[in-house]
Amino acid sequence: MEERELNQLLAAKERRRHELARLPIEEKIRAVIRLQQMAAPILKQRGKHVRCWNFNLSPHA
Amino acid sequence: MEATLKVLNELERDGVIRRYAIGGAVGAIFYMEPFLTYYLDVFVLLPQTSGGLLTLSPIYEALKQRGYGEDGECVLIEGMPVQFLPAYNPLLEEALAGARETRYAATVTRVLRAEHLAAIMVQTGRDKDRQRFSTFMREAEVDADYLRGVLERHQLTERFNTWKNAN
Repeated sequence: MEERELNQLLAAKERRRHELARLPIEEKIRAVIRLQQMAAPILKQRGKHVRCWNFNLSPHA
Repeated sequence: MEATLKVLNELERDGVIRRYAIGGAVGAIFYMEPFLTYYLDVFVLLPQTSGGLLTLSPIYEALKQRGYGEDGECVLIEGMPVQFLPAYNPLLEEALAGARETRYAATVTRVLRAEHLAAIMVQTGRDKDRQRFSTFMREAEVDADYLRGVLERHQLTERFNTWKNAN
């Protein structure tokens, strides 16, 4: 990959992270729960049992 | 999470805790991109006891009466593991006093200011805090003057500068 392409990719990632930082907290918490659900089976394979947050994911959760 | 916060608000209203605010990972998430965490850290100011002892037992007891049981070092409140942390040093006391009111959905709550969260990361000083600090300072909107004051008051300026210059 050319350096210019790599710099563009990294800049786009940085922009995305800033966009994520600006999301409403409710959206962020939904993202955290999705991360927990994604990580849980991987951690289980390593012998770590984690508890995913278990509450209503409706807009007012 | 809203249901969890309602319970915390009830505890405050009933005088079980004098004041609470969200800190830790979820506190940081208010200001930066979301990341993986499993606990809600809640800093609390406890009612004065005659012996001057800091104890979380009244909180655990009040929650038990409401049907919320302990889960290791946390209490599971409406599906969310909550870790209660007493404000045990001047920085945490200042952070809790200065916590800002905000909303989660329709429910009012409090979260530590970004500047205090950054200072607490520096004070706690674990590898995990240092990693989170790096991303936090890039993404969160931080009042530089206010942060400077916090760091100076709590003798954290040197370590902050070391961490900042390493990034």
